[in-house]
Amino acid sequence: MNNVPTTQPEQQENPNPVEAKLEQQLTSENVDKSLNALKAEAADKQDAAGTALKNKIQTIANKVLSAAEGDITAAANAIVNKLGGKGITAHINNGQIIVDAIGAAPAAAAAKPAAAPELGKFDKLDSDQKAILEKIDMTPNEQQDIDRALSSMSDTDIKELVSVCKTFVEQVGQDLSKVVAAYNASKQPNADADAIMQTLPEGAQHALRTLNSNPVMEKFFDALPARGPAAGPNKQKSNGEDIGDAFKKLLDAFEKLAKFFEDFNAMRSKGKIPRVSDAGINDDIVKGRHFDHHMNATKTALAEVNSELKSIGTDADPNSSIGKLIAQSKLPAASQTDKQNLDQQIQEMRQRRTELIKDKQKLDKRMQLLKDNEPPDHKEKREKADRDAAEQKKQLLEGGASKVNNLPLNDIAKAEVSGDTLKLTPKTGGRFSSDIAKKLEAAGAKKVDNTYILENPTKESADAVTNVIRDAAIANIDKSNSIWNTDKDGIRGALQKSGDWHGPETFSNGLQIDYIQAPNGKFYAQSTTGKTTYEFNGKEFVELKDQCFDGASKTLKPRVDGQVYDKEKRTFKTPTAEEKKATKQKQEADIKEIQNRRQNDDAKQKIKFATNATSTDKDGVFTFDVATWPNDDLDVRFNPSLDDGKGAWEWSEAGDNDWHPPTAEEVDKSWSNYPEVKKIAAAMRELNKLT
Amino acid sequence: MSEAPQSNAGETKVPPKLPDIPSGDKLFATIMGPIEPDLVLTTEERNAKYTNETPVETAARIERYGKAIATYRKQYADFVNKQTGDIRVFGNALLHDFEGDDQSGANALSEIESQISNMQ
Repeated sequence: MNNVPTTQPEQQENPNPVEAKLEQQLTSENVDKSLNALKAEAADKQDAAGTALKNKIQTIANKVLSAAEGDITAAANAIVNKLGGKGITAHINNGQIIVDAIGAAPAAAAAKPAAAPELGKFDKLDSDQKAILEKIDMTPNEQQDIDRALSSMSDTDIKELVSVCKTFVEQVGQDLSKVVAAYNASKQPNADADAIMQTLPEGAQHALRTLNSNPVMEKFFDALPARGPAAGPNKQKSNGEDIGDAFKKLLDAFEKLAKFFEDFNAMRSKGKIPRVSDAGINDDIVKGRHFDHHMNATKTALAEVNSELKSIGTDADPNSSIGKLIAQSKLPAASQTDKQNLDQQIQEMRQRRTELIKDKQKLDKRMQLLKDNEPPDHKEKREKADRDAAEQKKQLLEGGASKVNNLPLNDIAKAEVSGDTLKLTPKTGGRFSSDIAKKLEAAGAKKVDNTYILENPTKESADAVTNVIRDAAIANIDKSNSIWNTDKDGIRGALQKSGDWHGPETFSNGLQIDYIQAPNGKFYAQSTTGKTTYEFNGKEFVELKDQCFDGASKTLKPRVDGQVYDKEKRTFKTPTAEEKKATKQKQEADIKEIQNRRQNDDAKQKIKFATNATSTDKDGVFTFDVATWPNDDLDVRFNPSLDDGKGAWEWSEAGDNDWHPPTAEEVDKSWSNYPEVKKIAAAMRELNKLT
Repeated sequence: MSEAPQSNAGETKVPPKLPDIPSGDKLFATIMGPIEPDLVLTTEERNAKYTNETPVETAARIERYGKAIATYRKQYADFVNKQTGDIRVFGNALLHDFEGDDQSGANALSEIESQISNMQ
């Protein structure tokens, strides 16, 4: 990626006015959408660049081949090998060079040490290597041969065989693509395997000889059914002799093994590992093994095949890739060479389409097999998931429509659900304003006549579209003269909260109100005490006499006497018998407290009357200012625990907290014959009468 | 275009180098990363990073993103242009490489080269 510019951010003007406008309208809601669009654009462009490069290489290679003289097969092999040296994997098919992959030669594997012999997946292979192996041609008969040979061998031998072949792959390393390309070339009619072998790097040749001399590999060859002169290495020849012959057979075995290792290991894992061959996958499916794995893999593969098929399109469709090429080739201005090139591209595209159709048919069959063999518990889960998804989609669509249709002061749009589509129509007929139209398009809605539709909405896309209408409605709310400013704040807040409570907002008279938009789209306001509930009628909030809004169900409920309001949860509840009892006890205690206060008040008045002294009152203790006394003030309190719980008055010198019964005698004794004291003593006697 | 091979016989040839064709995601991250690291984060990562942001700060950030996207578009266009050129150069270099293997077909290859160039 050295070619990628890495300059620091700078302000750039976008020359495209439409894009520039969209960028100006970038909001926190559509950032992801914009980024995804950029990534998709980059992905499309890079796919196209890869295809262009591949086509260019293929065109050049075949032109070079067509200009070659003499042994065409040797020339073709030389070209394939040369391409392989540049990291381009290609093979020969019907006298044409076909480029399979570009930049696939793995360099890292060359220096890896040999793996310990163990049975397992081809974990040392990276995805590029596996992709190379996938390019190897193999007939069903050849597959059966290998399968049969492996089945006849012992577990120990297969384990060793796997290890030997893994080591071989690691030793070949970065030359793997060349080995595979050479193998494919060697399968061509009249191919000179010896000559092909000699074109390989020495390291790859050595790895092949090592593989050839391995005893377990010989066992494998012995087990392979004979197929003419190519079956098994010639044991009469020493290593290095007639390598070409051995090479072909070795590669033959190697590629089949490579294809079968994973599947055979999976088979031997007794279902613990998913199979990889077509037959193995079908076997897994029928036996109810790795259902999710195979279902997901099949879905992914089908999606890829369908996508590529769609991209190629049909000959008759002028908008398809192939249709465009066909139209181009028919233009009178096209030169003969151009036409030849175009015809070649068209032919390749048709071939690719034929391959894809075959793949699709195979995958469709597998999908049907999966459906026919779906495990019952999985089916139940899937059906539930389907139901949930359908319900979720329904709620999303209906919720979006309800949100729009119940927006206060919405004179912009009405919404309706049509199948999987949310449809917005101008509320007053005609068409949407250009400002709203642009915003709806930017949010992902599609214009159809004078309406805008959002197909298969996600929560994000539904919110983006409905928020366009919401914001326009908010602008109307701001302009309204019939709504209190505090209520405007409440509505805006509730809209932002999307179904959750907003508030409280405080009115100038101190009234505190919470606001919410209910799932039915209507707006409600409720005092924080729960005593009053209001409903927005489109112009203002009006009080509901017999109903309240319950936060748990987010619906209106009848107002019931005795129900209690949970301020935090904003829910109403009818109390249980225990709660009622506790409430009653508290009420009684409150009454008693009130009575005590009244009694205190009475006592205070009487003492004031008797002493003519001012007093302060704190925590139920009256402190009388009798400053003429030697000890300044006098504290008096009612102690409810005295007199067997009936309560009685007592007194203390101010601040001493040393309480005495209020007998006139004690007061008299304490403070002699001060006239004020006598008054206090008289007051005490009055107090005793009270208690 | 220093990588372009010389076409005249006898001059030093530079082996053709395969043009870089990254995946869409990788290309996006490579260009956007240095411009605005926030925009190569996932939505969740970005939201977590700005949990306590004020509305004013959010607005400033979104404005910064808009400018970053504009910068990205410029650099992306530059990259795509260069990549297109690289593919063309590679094609020509590959042709010359084969040409070196078979001088007898020089005339034919020159013709092919001309045809390929006309296809761009």
